[in-house]
Amino acid sequence: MWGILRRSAVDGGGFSASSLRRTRSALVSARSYASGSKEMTVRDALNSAIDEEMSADPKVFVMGEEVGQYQGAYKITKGLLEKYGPERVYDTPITEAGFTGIGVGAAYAGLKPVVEFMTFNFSMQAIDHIINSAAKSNYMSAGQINVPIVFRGPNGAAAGVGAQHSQCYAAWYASVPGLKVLAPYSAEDARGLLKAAIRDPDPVVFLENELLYGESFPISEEALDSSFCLPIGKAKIEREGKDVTITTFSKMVGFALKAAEKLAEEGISAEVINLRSIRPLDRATINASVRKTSRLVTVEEGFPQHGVCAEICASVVEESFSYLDAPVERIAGADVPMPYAANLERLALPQVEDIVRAAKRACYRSK
Amino acid sequence: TTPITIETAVPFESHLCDAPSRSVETSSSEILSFFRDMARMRRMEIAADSLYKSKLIRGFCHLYDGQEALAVGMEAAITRKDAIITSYRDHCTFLGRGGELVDAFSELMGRKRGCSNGKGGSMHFYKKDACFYGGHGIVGAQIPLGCGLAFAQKYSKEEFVTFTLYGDGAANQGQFPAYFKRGDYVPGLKVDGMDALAVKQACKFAKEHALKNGPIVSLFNAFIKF
Repeated sequence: MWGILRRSAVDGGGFSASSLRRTRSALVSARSYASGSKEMTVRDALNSAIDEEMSADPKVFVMGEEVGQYQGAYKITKGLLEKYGPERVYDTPITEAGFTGIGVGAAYAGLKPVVEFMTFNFSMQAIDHIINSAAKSNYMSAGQINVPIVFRGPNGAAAGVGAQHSQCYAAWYASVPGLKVLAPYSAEDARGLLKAAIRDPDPVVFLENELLYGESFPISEEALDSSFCLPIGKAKIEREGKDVTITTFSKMVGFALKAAEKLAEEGISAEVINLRSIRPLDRATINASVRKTSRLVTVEEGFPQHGVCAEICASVVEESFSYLDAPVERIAGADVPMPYAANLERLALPQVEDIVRAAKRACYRSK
Repeated sequence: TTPITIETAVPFESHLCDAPSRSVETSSSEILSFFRDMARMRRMEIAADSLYKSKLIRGFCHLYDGQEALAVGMEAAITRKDAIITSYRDHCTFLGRGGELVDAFSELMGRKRGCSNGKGGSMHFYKKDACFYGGHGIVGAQIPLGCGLAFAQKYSKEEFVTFTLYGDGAANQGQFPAYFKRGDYVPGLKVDGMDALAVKQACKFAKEHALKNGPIVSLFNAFIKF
C-alpha cells in the first residue's frame, strides 16, 4: 500500500484519472468506511438516483440534449428512455434558453424537471431563467410560487477542452439567494445529494464533474437503499485531523486527501472537509474545525477572485478570527482562461503539491 | 341574462386555420360586467400613473390602460384553471384573475398587505390559486415559461390551456423567433384588441384550437396611447 502511495507521489498527483483510481483504492483500505465491499461509479450512482426518483414520483421527468436516444452525452441517463418512455425523458433541441425556460415553467405548474446541461458552460445561455425565473420566484411571489427543479451537469475543468468548456460555476450560482448549490464527490455523495435535490421544493444547481464519472467508490448498503438521502447544507469530514483544516469540494476532495497523506508523512495531521453543499454553506462545520486546528487552507478549481474559497475565508475571519494561528490560505485555479496545452492546463489547476505547500505554510513549515 | 348576439366591428384574419365567426354570443349582464371591470382597470392605471409621478410608486410602473378589453375579454372565454403568464405589464391581468385592488395598490406602494408582501413590486404580481404565474421583468422570458406551463398541462393530461402574453418587444427576443421562424407551421389569428367581445371570441377559439391541434399565435391590435 505504501509503495502505491509513493508511486503516485512521483506522479505528482497529476491529471490522469487512473493514478487517482490507484491511490483511491489504497486510501480506501486506510480509512474506516462501512464494511460494505460494494463499489459504484459516480455515473452509476447518478443514474440510479434519477431512476429511483422517477420511479417514486411520476412528476419527475428528465430533459436535455442527448439524454434520451443517445443515452446521455456522458451516459448518466442511460436506460431511462427505454424504461420510462418519451413522455418522461425528453431530447431537447440545442437551445438552452428555450428548454430551460420550459423546464422552469413546468416546475411553476408543479412538475419536477431534472434539466441536464451538457456542461455548465452552456448554462450561461439559460442563466436568466435559472436566476430570474427560478431562483427569485419564491421570494418575489411571497411564497406563492415554488420551483422544484434540478439543473445538473458536469462543471469545471475536464481534459483539454479549452477555455470555453472548462469554467467552474460554483461561485456564480452560490452567490444567488433562492438557489441551492450542491457538489458531490463520491458515489455516495452523488446518490444522496441528487436524490435530495430532486425531492427539494426549491431550485437546485447540481455541479458534477466529468472526470469523476468513471471513478469507483465503495458504497454502503444504506446508500444503496432507494430511500437514501443526504441532508442539504451539511459538509462531511472525510478525514479527521488536528493541525490544519483543508476545505474543498468535488474533484479537489480527492487531491486534498492525497495531500493529507503526504502531510501525514511529515507529521502534519490535516482535517479534510468535503463541503458537499456550496449553498447553503456549512459554516458551522468549517468554523468548528478551524477552532480545533487554528489553520485553514481552502481549495477549489475555479477562478480565485470572488470564489468559494474567498467566501470561506471571509466566514472564518468573521466567526473564528481569534482562533486562527496563521493567515487563511486559498488555493484556486489560475486567474487565466483555461489553456489548451496539457502542460499549461496542469499549471492552471491546483495540484496536490500546491495543497501540501499551502498547508505547510499555514503550519509555518515553509515559505 | 337573456342571450344577445353581436357582430364584431372588425372581421378576424387567420393564418393556417379557419377564422372564428364574427357573431359573438353574450348577454346584457356580461356586457355590463365588461364595462364595470374595464372601467375599474382604467381608473386603477390612471391612479397608479399619478402615484408613480408622485414617487409613491418606485422603480418601474408599466401601465395597461388602453388594453383593458384584452384582459376582460380573455377572462370571459376561459376558466381560472387555464393558466396565464405575462410580462411586467401585469396589473390588470392580476385584477382579471380575481386579484383585489387593495392588494395591487399595496404591492405598488411596497406594503406588506401587497399581493407579494411588498417584495415583488409592479412587475411581480402573481395569483397562483387562479393559475396566474406572474409578472416577469425580463423581456421575452415568459414565452418559454408559458410553454413549460402548457407542457405541464399536457403531461398531466389536463384539459386546460396556457395563455402566454407578450408585446412587440418580446416578439424580437431570440427565444421566440427561434422556435417560430423555423418553419411556417404555427397557425395564427389577427384580432381587434379594442373590442372585448372580439377578444372573447378569439380566446374561446384559441383554447379549443390549442386543445385539439396545438399552439396558436394570436395578434391583438390595441393602442395604449390615448
